[in-house]
Amino acid sequence: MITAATIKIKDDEFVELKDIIYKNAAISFADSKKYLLENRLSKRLQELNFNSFKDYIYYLKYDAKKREEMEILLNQVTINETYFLRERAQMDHMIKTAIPELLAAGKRSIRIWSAACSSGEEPYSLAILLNEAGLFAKANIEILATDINTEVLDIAQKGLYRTISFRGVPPMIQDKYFSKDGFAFKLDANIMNKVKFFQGNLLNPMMSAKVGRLDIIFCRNVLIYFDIPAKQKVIDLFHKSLGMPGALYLGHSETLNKISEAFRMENFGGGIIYRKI
Amino acid sequence: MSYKFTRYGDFLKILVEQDAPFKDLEDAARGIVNLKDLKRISLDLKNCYYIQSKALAALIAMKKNSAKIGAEFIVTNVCDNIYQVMEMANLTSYFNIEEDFSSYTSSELVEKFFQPDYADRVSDFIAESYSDEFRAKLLEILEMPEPELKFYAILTMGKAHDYSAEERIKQELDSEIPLIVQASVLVLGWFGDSGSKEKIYGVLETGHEEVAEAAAASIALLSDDSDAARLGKLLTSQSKIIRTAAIQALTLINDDNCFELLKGALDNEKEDDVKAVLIRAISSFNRSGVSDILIKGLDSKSIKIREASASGLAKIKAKDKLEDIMSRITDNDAWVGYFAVKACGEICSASEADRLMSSYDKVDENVKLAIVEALGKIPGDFSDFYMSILDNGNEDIRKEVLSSLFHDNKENINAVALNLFENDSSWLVRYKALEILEQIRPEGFRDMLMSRLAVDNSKYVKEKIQAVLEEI
Amino acid sequence: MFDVQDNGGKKVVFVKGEVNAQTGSELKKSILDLYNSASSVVISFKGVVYMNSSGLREIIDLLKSVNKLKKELKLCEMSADIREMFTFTGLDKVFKIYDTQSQALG
Repeated sequence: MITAATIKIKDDEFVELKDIIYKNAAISFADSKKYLLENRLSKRLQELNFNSFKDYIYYLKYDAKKREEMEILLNQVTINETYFLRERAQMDHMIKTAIPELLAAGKRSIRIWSAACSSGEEPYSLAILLNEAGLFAKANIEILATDINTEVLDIAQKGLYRTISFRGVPPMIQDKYFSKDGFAFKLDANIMNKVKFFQGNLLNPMMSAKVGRLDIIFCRNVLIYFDIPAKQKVIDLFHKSLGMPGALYLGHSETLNKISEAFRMENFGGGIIYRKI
Repeated sequence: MSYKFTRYGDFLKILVEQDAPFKDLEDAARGIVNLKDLKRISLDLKNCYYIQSKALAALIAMKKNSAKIGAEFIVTNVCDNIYQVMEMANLTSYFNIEEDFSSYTSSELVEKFFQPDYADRVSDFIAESYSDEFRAKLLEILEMPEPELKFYAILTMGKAHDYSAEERIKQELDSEIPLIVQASVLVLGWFGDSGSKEKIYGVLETGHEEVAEAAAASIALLSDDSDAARLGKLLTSQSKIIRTAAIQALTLINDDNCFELLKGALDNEKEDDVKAVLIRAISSFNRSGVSDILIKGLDSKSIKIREASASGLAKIKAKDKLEDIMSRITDNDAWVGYFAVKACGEICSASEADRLMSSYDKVDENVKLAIVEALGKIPGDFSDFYMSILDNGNEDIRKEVLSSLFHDNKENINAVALNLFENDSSWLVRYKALEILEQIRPEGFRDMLMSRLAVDNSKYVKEKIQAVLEEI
Repeated sequence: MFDVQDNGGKKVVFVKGEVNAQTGSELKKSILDLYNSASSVVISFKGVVYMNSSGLREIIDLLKSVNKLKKELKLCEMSADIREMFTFTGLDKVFKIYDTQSQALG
């Protein structure tokens, strides 16, 4: 975030912190991702009155509440920074193009999967836009949402969000679908009922059976955390689970080039959609 | 041909097309040897999303051939996929890998605003190489519905001091989207646009966390004599976010008036976390009476306030309160002790360091670490003390001893660092020892690194050894 | 209130004491004069014990003028407090800020 002063991490601190994160969550940070730790953790350090990462590492190692802090740390580094209607162009594309295509092909039951839904902003955004477009009346639409992290799923299922989740949202939408609840905002129960959450690891062989046959998959800004073989496995799963015509939306920085030949890339101006072939 | 040589004086850029066959890359590598008067050669992979392992051999040949003609070789714009392939081949430290945004078109560049990992650097690049083309592109974005792009477009225009965009940016203060309002508020503050101050107060008073901070910053930059009083009224707002923002603005304005207002707020504030924010704010005022307030804060019932007070005392280097600070070294909250020791590191003289050393056995591990660190900062040589705790079972203690010994005693450190680098069981300690040896560069350093590279079992230490070997 | 060191075309200004509205404005004028004989100025904040938003505003004004001249201004050696003023206002993205004097010169 632009207004929080960033605290620089020194080489030895970075190596130790990255080792700690790897041991606790199997997530690896390349040297080129140093600034990511700086950006995501500086605010937490300041809250604890620390001005160096060394202080924070000692806090993680020696404080009585180190286990709680480890959770806070892992949440900071694993949670994708997400908010409602993030990278909306792809969502609009689904509403205006992908779903009408399915309807035109005679489909009356449509299944959508948000494959790394984090705290629920993505699947709920889809539900809100589907509702705005009146599409729930035109087909039986089911939205599945999964994530590996049970904590974020708890947040998703509570449907309570802080202001930071609304940074991309016009107040008209916020007022219509959320009501103020203390310092947070509670999502309308009708929208919450449209999304079915469950825990799942994209690399688990059982995942395919868990999600069943799908029409549209959103999996944005997740593949970057995987190495190439793991990426191939995940894309394979997506391909197997999608029917025809099937659509896959990935994050802006992600590509299937040399990962899979089983999708055709289509640039629609505001973003990219991968179509199953 | 799937690659292109472009020469800029003594700099050569090799741009490779997507899916370039490795034979072409080999060809490019051979082509380098015939070139003259080059200082720097970069291979740009911005169009490549994958690389065959055979092509890696061609890259190595390019580096070798560049060296033959006396040019530095770098690889630029490496995507994650290729980086991973290089990592598997242990080549990431062999190559100099850099970013080179000048290879991209303006449309490709602004698209990177979507990627939080890149956005800041892309924005810096555009601001530094600002041109009419970039301005047109950014203005085009302001008409699009994408909040992320607009956010960075506004900030970039601000960084580039593009005052011609001021009126356009002002319109965005009315945006419905907080992210965009935040960027506009900041930039109008940088531009010194006092005409927008009233509107920015309105933004602050919405109590939206992210925009409130930005509004506080810009109000301070646009402030005149009337603003302290106005912000003072906000210190009693119902909203914690507004109170905190007002504190931040008053801290930035930082005059006598603001100081009195904040002191008053400390007496009236009910919430501990806002009180801790007030303590931090007050500790950045260069006024008499600050240290008294912080010392008083040490007696608070709230750990947050006590810790904020102790860290404030370390920050202001409160020499006049040394005795009070020292009495907290053994505080029952180890973090108060930790910050108290840090303060000592800033203000103690050698004669006062005894207190730290004699407290060592009575305190928790984190305070022990702070004591060793603080001794390294205090003028004087405490080698005897360091040597007495060097066999400590805690790796962090041994690591801190190395750092402090390096400050205090340049004669002893060589042997100690060599010993720990070769024999310590903890990679953290070996890593720190290596960092120190890198600066000392003892005799036979290179050979020792080579032999440690073969036997050290930590990949972090090995990577560091490789990096140091590259360097020397 | 400040010393100047010549570093072959680049001048290093060591500011001392307080940077507020008044001292900041004087500082701005004096530094602008330096550009008559230099293309790049580095300001070291090492000796600055106090700065507020009015002082900061003068530094922004200075940058504005320096940019008009198409010359270079760099800042270095800030205390944590002063650095925080720049980051909180987002100005760390506007100025070129370095940890040490040699990095700023390099």
